[in-house]
Amino acid sequence: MRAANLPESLVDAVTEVLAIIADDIEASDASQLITPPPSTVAILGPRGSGKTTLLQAVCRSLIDQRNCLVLPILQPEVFESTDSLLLACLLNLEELSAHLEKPTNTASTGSGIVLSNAIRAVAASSAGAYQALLESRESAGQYSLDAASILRHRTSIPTLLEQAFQTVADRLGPNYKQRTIVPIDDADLSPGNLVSVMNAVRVLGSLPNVIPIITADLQQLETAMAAEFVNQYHGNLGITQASHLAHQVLAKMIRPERTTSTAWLTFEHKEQFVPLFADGDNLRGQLRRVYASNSGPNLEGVLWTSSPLTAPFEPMHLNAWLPSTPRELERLWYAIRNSRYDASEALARRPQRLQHLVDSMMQATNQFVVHIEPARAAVDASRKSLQLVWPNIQFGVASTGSFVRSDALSGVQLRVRRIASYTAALFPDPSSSDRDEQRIRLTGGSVSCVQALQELAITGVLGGLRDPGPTYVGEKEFEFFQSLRLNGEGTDDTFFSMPHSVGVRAMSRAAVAWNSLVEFAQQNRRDNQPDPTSFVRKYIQVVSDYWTTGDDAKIELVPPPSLADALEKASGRYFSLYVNEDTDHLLDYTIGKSYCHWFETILPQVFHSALVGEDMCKAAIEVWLDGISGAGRSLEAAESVTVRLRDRLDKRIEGQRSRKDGAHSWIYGYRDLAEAVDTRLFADVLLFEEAFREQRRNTAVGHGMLEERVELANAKGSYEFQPHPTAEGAAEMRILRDVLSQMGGR
Amino acid sequence: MIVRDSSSSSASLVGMPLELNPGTLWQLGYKNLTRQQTMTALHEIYETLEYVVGRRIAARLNRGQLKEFERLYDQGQDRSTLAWLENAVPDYSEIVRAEYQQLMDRLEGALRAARRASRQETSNASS
Repeated sequence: MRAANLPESLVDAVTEVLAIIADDIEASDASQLITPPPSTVAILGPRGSGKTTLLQAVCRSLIDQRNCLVLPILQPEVFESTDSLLLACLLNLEELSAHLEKPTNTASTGSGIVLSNAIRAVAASSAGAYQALLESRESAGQYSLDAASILRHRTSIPTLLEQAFQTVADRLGPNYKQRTIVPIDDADLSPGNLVSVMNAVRVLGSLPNVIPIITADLQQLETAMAAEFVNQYHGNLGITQASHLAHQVLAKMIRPERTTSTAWLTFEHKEQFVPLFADGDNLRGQLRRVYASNSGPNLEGVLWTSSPLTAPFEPMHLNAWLPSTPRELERLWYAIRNSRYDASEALARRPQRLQHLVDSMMQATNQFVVHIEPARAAVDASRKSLQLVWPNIQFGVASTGSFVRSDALSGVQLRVRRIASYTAALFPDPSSSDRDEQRIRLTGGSVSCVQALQELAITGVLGGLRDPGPTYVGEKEFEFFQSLRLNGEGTDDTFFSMPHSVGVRAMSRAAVAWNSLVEFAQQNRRDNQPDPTSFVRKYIQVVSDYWTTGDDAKIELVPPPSLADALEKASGRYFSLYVNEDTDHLLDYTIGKSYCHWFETILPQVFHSALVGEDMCKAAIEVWLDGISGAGRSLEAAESVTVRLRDRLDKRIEGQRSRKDGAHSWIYGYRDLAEAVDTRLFADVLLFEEAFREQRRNTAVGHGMLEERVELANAKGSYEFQPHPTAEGAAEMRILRDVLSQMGGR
Repeated sequence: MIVRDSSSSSASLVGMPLELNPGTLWQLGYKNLTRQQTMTALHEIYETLEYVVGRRIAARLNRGQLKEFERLYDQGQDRSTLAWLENAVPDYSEIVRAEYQQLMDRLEGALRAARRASRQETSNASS
């Protein structure tokens, strides 16, 4: 990594956060019970996005400023389960203390005692001693400990730590502000020990004048913590509740206003994070050289070329900032939003920081302007579109749509639905034409929104001017997608995701595969034969036959195979690629691993959300189960499926009341699926099943009671029906449904 | 259809049948619906009534009774299921009537309130 090449603005962004915390510390007043909030700073981002590099750069910058103590970077993943992060931190502090110049004897002695006390307290109350006490009295005797003394040690830890840090900081000299930075890299990479690591971070963050900086992949952090909670509760806590708990704990620790993300980087900045190339060169230069030698496409076309590139030139970490599917973009958006969205007053008090971000963005993308406008008159306010506008060209993104079309850069207007709900907050007064004023009004969420869109815009720039570029979903297709009913639901949040695609080759295939799906949908629309099931078959086919092989001929198969054939082939492919089952597909990317991940976690979601009809859904699940259980990675798959389906399960149970008996196959299908896959997932589904059964029972009781007591007739009385739908009639239906909804029946 | 009290040997009337038909909607003030909208509205009202009545009655059954009810229901024995319910909750008729009346009142009240608000808005705009 080349920390020295990092842009100054990026390091500034983090140091600015540190400055804010320092302000808070100075503003705190113990006499008035005003204490600073926990001071943990988080650098979040996916693997390969440059977190470690940024952390190193920040540390180097802070060391150069010589106004605070910076401890060596801690890496929790090297600890054994009984080690303590606090202990490692104190040992670092002790070592640093020993190297401080010319301590006076008194100070040295004093700091030595304080450090020793703190180290003893932490060591004595660590897992090792406690375990010894639990297991053997003799061992506890050797430690000279009992439960009470362990507790005493534990309660004294914060005070002793504070004294230890303070004592060492006091010796730093007049220019130092007695502040200590504790950098912790890859805080999420300590499976089995994560809760204690995060507890230690929390303790450090609560100490005055101590600021821990952690780097982590937030999603990974949440998942790992949830898994630990499940174990700690010995199965009495479902993964759903555990995930919720982990989210809450982390939300308290990692505060939006103190979180940075490598997604802030501009493309040029990010190039410097790609570790594949030698110093003095970068991704763009490498690609330019590769393509210049054979008269290939220019740089702007490189990333979306359909021709497979040969190793070793595939930039493996490219997807760290480049969403390869609309789903990925959506996840990127949520990742960014979740990490920083906060409407709290604290954020509102920091406009200068937000402005700094926006300004940086503006500088990086010359002539970059953001504005909002209503998409169409018929579109609800919540579905306004957000556009990125350059002179003469416009970029955008559709969350269900596709990539920006290369040859339609002028006048392209794609729709942003999920993102759009936040744009309302972005511009409370969209009629205002004062863009400068609008910029000032940006909130944290909207900044994230803009940044996510910026990422896509950069993608659009790079994807330009070359055929076959990604296909654009036009307004007509967009409406067509919206009109489809999949399994009784709209398609607003239902569409398919390509396997995780890293590098030019895989991303290029994902784009081509996605485009073929889009074209398939367009054809469906032109033929006026909406057939959602055929999308599923086509989707499975293009992923299994084309995406894994890159064989263009396979993508042209029309019509798509039957569902049984498609799934059989997908399962066969899964078995043949199932050779890397012990490694996370993200840690060491190959197309095979990514395909396995897709088969294990994305496909069941597709069955659930997109297959129409009970029998088809059950058949698909059956084939999937055969595949997954035969290959033996069921536990991991179950966890992923649980996380992915949680929202849908919640949503579906809400929608069950109005359905007739027999149409609730999904819950029984998933019960079967879950029972075969994993007991924890099974327990989760049972929770939903009980709620469902209660609704079903109530409806049945009511049905019996009403059958002979309420006379429902379609043609009685003197109703003068309106010949055509009217606005008044629509309003009456709305009122009626509101009442029914309030009564809890629908 | 006339509802008869099955617990009595005499065929005494326990009340008028509760009606749910296009005329009901007309009386409540919903007068701008097409035939299709009317049919949809009636079925949705009926389903809601099923649910709210069921929720109230089920709340009065203990766990054993609910289990027994589900057993009968799953066996598809409609007649015996109904008879069992009537026996377990003798005042079911009043419950149905009360929930029906409450729902009708709310539907009528909501429409009136909406129209009042609309008139007020128009009046404010013109003044």
